[in-house]
Amino acid sequence: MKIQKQQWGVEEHFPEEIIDKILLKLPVKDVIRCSAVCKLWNSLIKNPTFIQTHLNNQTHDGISKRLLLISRQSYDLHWDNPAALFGQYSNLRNPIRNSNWTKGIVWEVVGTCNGLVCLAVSSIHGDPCPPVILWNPSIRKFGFLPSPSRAVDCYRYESYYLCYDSRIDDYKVVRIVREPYCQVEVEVWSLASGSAWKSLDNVPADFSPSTSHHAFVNGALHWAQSRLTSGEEEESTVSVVALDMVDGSFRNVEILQCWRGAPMISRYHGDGDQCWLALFDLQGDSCFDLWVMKEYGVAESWTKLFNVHLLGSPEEELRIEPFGFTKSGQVVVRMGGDEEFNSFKSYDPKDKQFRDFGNQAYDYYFMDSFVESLVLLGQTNVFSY
Amino acid sequence: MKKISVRTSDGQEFELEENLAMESATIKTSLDAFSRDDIILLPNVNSWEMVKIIEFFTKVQELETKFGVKFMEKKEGRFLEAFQAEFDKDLSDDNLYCLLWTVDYLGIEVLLENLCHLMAERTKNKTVESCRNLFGVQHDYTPEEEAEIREDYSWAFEGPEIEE
Repeated sequence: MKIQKQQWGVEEHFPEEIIDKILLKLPVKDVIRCSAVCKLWNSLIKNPTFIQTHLNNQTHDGISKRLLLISRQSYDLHWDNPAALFGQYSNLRNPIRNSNWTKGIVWEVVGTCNGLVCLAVSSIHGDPCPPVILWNPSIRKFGFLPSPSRAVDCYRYESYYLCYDSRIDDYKVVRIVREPYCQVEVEVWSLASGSAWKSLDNVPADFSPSTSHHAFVNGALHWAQSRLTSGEEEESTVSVVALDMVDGSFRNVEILQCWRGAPMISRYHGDGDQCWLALFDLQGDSCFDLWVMKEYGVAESWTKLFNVHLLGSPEEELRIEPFGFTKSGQVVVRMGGDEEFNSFKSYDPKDKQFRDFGNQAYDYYFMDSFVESLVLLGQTNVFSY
Repeated sequence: MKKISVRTSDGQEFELEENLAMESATIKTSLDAFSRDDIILLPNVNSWEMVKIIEFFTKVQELETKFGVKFMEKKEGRFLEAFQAEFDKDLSDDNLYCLLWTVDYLGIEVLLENLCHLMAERTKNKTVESCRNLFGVQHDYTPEEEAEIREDYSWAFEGPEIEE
């Protein structure tokens, strides 16, 4: 049959556009293997546009939805599918465990975005500053970020956030350093520029994010902040502050004033590809409301989606805390009593049922949607494991 | 509906409905240049390929009636599964390879998309050598270059699912 093609006087291989189309439909492992077929295929695959298009195709493909579940015991990927009971899809090898890099330091997963995972040491420590790690488990590559400008000491706390600038297809890590009674410092590192952390000089004077929870929505990182206002009664005002990853500006996102206490911020996935800023309004230990901002930036669009509460007997004193979302709109919660607070359940608002979630023996500390991607492919200064 | 006549490389003539013929960007260009009464010559298209293409459009119309959806706009989903089941089984690797060429030449976007999907399915879990055979690709790495890639991503080249 191929001889027939030679009769036309055409070259024997397909036009590049067709090879591209075909390669884009392959899972990551097959794409990597195809880079060894020939030099043309290798250059097609390592093209940044190919990597980005491949990622976008994965993101819209329902079958590819995964959840990254991180515990002290294990790094796992689970099916993001209630029909599959959110069962385990695969176990990920920790890229640096038992390697020369660790020397007793424990890295934690602090974020994931487009298939990249960010590892950092978030607790208090001294010099030297252990570097932040960017890792793509799907292609088994990881790299170290350069050291930030100033190390932390016992009075300073640092936290890291991974996000994406879609305008220039760039991955950024934000570092927030807090010191009691001092202005919060913010630095940003970008994969594209790669060299040094850049200090932001436009940090608002009243910037006091609740760094334990954040949400990357609409191209910006969001934190809740709760400040005690001076006055006769000690009241706290709650606000949401956003750092735009495209232009580096800070802004406030309007929230409803009915929330007291510090709400927990998150990112909710609606039907299809919807992604809303979400706030959990915690009301006591066994109950919370979920609010979402259906139209970003429009205060009136804050909508209470549903309420989650435990119907336990009073003697049990069960507590419940939101942990994260699945793409099918279920809330994952952490439940337990005073002695053990590490039972994870998924809550389905449609039938108001709690179901066991994840491995009951694991103590999860991180969960987020995950997609397999080729990001970091072709980057220099990355290591295999 | 007007019928458009085409003649393939082996001298066979086919009559296509106009709206179907217009799905081919190449035929459409010819029709715009010449009269619709003339037979369009397709020296790069074999008759078995034209049969397959007509079969595809017939199948699309059947599925559109069955599912009540316009599949020409959709490229994935249920159509793909139904399409694959029917189209894939009679198509050898070589035939699929040739059909891809022809459909690309004719510029039938929706069929090209589906054939690329079929080709991708056949590429999955294949060794590097099998891929080269499937696509008729020249091996242009030096042994050292290829060894470097295989070492750098050794996990991608091993696994029980990879077949010859």
